[in-house]
Amino acid sequence: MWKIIAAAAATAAAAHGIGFGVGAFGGVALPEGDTAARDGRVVYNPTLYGGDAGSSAAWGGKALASLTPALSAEFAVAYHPNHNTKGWGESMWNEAPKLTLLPITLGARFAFALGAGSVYVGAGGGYFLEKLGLGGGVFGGGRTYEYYGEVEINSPGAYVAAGLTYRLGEFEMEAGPRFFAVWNKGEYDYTYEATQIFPPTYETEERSAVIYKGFNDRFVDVLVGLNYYFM
Amino acid sequence: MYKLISAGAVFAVSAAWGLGLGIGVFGGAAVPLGAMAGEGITLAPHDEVGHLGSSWKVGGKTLLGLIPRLELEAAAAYHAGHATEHVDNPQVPGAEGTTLVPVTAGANYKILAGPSPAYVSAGAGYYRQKSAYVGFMSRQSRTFLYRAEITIRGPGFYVGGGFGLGAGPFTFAFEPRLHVILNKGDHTTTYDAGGATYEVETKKDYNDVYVDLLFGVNYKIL
Repeated sequence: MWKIIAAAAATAAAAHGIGFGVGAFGGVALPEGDTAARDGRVVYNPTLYGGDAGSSAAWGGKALASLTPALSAEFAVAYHPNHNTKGWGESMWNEAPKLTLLPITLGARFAFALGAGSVYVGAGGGYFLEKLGLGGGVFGGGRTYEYYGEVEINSPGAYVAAGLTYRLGEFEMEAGPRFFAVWNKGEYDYTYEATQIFPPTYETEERSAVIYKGFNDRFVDVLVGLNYYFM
Repeated sequence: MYKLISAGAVFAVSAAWGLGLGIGVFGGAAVPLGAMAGEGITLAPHDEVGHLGSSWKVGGKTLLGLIPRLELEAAAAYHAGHATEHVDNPQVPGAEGTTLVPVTAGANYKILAGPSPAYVSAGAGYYRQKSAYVGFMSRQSRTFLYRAEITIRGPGFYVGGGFGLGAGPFTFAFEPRLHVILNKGDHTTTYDAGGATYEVETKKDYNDVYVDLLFGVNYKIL
């Protein structure tokens, strides 16, 4: 019975140009605008200074649903494992702040068929899970502390994309840039562990602060992927 | 009449032999690999900086078709700036980034011909790389803010591939390429500090390797 239903669904899907696929992709994520600002300093008031974000690897997976031969819906989860930030000129930094990003997006792709493939444009929105790791040293009241903690900056965002696809049977190679705008300007809680290193008691205590992030993040991912259409 | 016959003859011969002429523009990202991404340049014994990040890249090319599957390519490109993402030495508080100009010539061989070709590429060229840093140096009991600049020139080669989608005289293409620049060796860094200029021998103990992820549009003139 299930086989009949599956066969009927496949027939109906084929008749209407509907198809389903999964894909994997990888590439590089380049920060843009204030996220990449090369002015050497980005201020996280009141006390923390970050650096300019550098490029990161980017990879992820996606599910595709072709609604018509030209129009597809796409659900994607990507990961930027490490945007090194420069933090120059800040003698208090023990290590460069670390920025990771996990964009979860839902969008649509419109393809213009050309030969064995297509040129496409796409757009969508989603939720972006960003983490900023901050650590350093601080002096006060005759004591010196080392501290490290992470700020979770989770916000909505959107993307626009363009690229090329090249079809080889049930496989499709896809390549293109994708511009992300993340609306994450605002105040965030920063919880960190501070260890007293002078006088050297090495006792650790948990502290918290509020960090103001004065800009929205922007990234361009340049991605190459392989999709497989199983229906 | 003469012009008409000449043009007709040129087109007929071109078509028969697969001859063709085209131009193209491209852009994308250049991603450093290996030591280029992980170590950086030792400017002087105490000034270690490193970790070149990815850069935007733009360029142009000329294509000459020789036989139906083979074309020659001459290209020039510009890497807008590989940011130095991590500085290990607090004496080097700033880096202005690294630009790169590759001028290359190579060949593309179509493993799938037709209006949607897939091809492999290889070639060689000359690469000009320029980096600048800002830091502090002590000379004769005084500390100066300096700006250091180093230009590294060297030959290199690339291998890659890609695919194209034809639309009339235009072809939209995706072309990933791996470049290796043979620029390991001694180079000269020029320091500008306190109104004086110094030259310091800089040892670069690795060759640069990077991958291009490029998108382009080619236009067939002939």
